[in-house]
Amino acid sequence: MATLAGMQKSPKNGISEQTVDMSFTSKAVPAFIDKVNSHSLTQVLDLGPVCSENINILAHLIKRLYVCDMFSHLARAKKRGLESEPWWQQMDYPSETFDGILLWDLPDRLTDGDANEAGRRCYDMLKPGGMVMACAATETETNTGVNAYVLQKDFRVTFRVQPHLHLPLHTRKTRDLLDVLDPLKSVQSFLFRNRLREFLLKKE
Amino acid sequence: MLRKSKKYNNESDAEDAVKNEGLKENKMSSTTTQSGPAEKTMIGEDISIKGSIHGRGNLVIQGSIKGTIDLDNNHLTVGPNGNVEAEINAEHVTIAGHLTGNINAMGKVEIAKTAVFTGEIKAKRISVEDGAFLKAVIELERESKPQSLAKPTIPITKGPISKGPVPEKEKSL
Repeated sequence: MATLAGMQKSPKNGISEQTVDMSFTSKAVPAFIDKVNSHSLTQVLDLGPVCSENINILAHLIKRLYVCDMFSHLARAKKRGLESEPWWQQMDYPSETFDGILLWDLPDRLTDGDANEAGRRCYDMLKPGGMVMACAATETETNTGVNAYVLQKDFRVTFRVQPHLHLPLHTRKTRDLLDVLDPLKSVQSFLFRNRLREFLLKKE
Repeated sequence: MLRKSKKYNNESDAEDAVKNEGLKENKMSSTTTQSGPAEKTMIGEDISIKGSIHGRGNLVIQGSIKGTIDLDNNHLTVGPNGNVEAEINAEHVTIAGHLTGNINAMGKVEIAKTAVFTGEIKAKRISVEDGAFLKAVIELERESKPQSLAKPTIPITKGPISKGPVPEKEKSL
């Protein structure tokens, strides 16, 4: 089975190992943008690793794009030995601020308790009817390297290794993932041949 | 308040800085305006300024600034050692250090991997290196009306799922 680890093999003896093409065309991201872009003052929060391509694509489609790099924040806290501090305080936006939140695979980097806190925070920050886009690596993924999900104009997604980010990996079965993101409700989900899963969740 | 300047890129930088040092704190509105379009003024690591900076030249900040920076059609660079808390108006802005505040750029904002930025960016274009830390609101010039993007999609299921069938398009690959 193809795994995200396939993207991260480094050359041995000067010979590059064959890497698995893990790219795929996102179905959740265009659906997410279509759903949140119902008015001219749309506000969306991106919690994923900072990525120039994503900012340029999303900021041209959405009126106000908020970027709060929680991956970087978590990695910095871990590096400083501040893992026990309430990391979610960084997500200090007022209630009902956003039409949508791009969570990416942040839950994969959080314990059940923290992922549940992230779900509750997202729920609080979303306007009624607001959407969350989340994704998750295959349940059997073992490589803990962090990747940015890099968007192309046609919503093709490629992976780019973020060597400066070192975070633990907590893969979950779909049912468990949706449980920890409660009270957000899953409205659509997609499974790709690279075993990556995408989810659209909603604040009802 | 201005303090002793330590590092300058070249002679003209040093001259500009000397001019700056002659000014009283909180007002630098005429300090860097003598520079030509290709020249730049550097505020060194040991310089700390509180107040407003207004000019028609390019500015490189390696020190600390708190206030407002208005460079019209010129380029502001916050170097790796720079620490800025300001409202910024410039043509282009490059950030490699710490910057807290709002940026209004007519052109491009470039954020290097060493940057830590908190605030709001309004610009025509933006580039961000992986590794930069951002907590930002970004507004780029965009087309008049967002278009509907969603293509027909094939959901696995509606509502919470444990695991569903692979979409036809994916399954057939």
